[in-house]
Amino acid sequence: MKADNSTKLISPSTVLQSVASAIPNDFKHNIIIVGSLAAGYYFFADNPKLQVRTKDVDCLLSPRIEALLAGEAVADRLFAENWQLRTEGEWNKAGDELTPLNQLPVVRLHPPDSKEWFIELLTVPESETDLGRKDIRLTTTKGHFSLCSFGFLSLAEYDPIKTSFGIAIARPETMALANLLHHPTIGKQTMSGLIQGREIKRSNKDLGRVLALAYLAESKEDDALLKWPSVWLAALKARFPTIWSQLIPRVGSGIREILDPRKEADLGEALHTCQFGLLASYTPTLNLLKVTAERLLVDAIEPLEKQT
Amino acid sequence: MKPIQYEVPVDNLPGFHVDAVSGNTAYEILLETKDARRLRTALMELASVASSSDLRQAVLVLEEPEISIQRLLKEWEGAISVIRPELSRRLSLFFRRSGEWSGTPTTPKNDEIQLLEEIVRHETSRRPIGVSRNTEAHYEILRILIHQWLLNRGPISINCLMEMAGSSHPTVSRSLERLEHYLKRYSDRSIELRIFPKDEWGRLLAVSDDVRGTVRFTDRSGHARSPESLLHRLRLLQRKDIALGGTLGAKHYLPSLDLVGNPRLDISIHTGRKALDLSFVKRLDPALEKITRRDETPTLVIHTIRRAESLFEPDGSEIPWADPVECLLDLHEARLESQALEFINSFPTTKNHPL
Repeated sequence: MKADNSTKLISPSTVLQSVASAIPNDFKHNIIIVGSLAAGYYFFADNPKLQVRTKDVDCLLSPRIEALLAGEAVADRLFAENWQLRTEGEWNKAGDELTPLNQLPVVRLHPPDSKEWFIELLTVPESETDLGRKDIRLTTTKGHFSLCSFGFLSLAEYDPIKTSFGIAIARPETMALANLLHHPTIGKQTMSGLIQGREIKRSNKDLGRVLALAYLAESKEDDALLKWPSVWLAALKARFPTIWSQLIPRVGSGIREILDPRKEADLGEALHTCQFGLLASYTPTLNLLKVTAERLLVDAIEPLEKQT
Repeated sequence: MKPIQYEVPVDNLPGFHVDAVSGNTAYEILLETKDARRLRTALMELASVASSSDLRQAVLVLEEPEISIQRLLKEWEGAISVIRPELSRRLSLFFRRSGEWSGTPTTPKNDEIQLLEEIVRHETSRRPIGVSRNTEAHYEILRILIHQWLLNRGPISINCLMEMAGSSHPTVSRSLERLEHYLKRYSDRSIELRIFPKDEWGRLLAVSDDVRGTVRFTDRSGHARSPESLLHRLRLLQRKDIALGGTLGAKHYLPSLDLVGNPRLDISIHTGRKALDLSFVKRLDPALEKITRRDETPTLVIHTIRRAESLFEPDGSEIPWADPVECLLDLHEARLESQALEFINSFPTTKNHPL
């Protein structure tokens, strides 16, 4: 039976500040926060009443060439400040020099005073053709870990937004693009744990995230989605200089699939993840999510598709 | 595109005609249906067509159905489950909602969409409309004459009126006879209104929705886009056959008009005799849905101009303006009666002799 990865509401500003204060100054410029916390900070920083429901704070180490050095320094500083290895679930022990690379855990650390969230260290792929998961060995004072990268994470590295805490957050539009490219179809793979009591397909969680980002972007600024295609195109050209035009046709296919009336159960799963994730402070409905998907198609995806 | 035959009799089904046949496919069309029973019947009829004729495929086409997609699919699955599999494989359901084609078990491809649009256009042109062509033409002529009169443009020749209205001589003559009481006729066969035709205007207001093919849309998401946002998107379309009317148009002609805010966007589309294509509404906002109840507040209101000349006022590269008469009708339609009176009394003809 899967564990329920129930999460508590956290304040994006407070958590971001905690993370930033624990990062050595010399390496702050190497950190880009991605995922719910980055989105939460971008959309809710000026309203302390709005919180997000997340457990993992994904820290992208960038650029790739400095990632290993920065990762080791950051992990060692956090260990020194009594951050604790996450013990829940599998991958809860550090490896050693004999542990095969694919058996090493990722660095996942709780702050000393809280088990409600943890940071996870990731990096960007080495090249544009490196689209699968890749691990590199990270040697720390507490053992060996993996610093892993995924194909489209490099998009989150494009033009990040600097925060007043000295670390950066990824742009909502580039995070959305990475998720869209990662899920051109609704796959069968489910999340390792339950989300608020429900088993959810990974694609539905990530496509739901895209819709939540689009909804929040429109709520923050009228017509915000109309600006996304130009950012997407620039990010694709910068991070995938030779294959960007081949990637464009897959940007919209996952969203089109989830909009198919026969896939309403998948949209329902996406809604569930929004209700218990980024849109926890709102009251999203299936209809709202459907409309948001249609607006995203018309305002952002279709104009991008015209660029090929 | 393959040739299309309309109203084709079906072998072995005496007295039954399918709406269209192209190649070896039969098409039945339902326009704006809200009746699930009618849908079920049509599916069963199509199954009979498929089993009784040499036609290999049978397609039910729904143009802007007023039934939810979930309900449509449920009806489809219900019907298919009681039809023999070798027959059900030959049936399809295609539907267009807010200008977007979809279907089951497959979505129509681009070449099919072209064919479907032609068939729907044909069916739409046969459909009885709320007002007759003659009534429609009469009110187009009336609006042209009021436009001339309001802007103090002087007499207009009957030939010119025919050209502007896109109407024949007998149609224009009939209309002018009806307006005789308000007309001044000149020896050079030109005419003009001598006074504002209040009675005819009142009649026009009563049938304005039908005459102008008014269609209303409202937000169904609970997260409505503002009229300004819709306007911004309308600008991006760069359409010259669409003009701004309503409060924005009235403010353009009379900046001092007593109006605060802009509760909705009124636009006029110049279609001439072509069918109205509303597929662009989705580009303004996919959350907009057509409403028919007058007690619902619309976000977007679209009026159709069927005369030959639009009378739109160009505005450089911007969206053109609907003519003042359309703007005036829009104000009445929005129940802005005092503003409508203020507006009509601001023109050269009425300034010194208010109505």
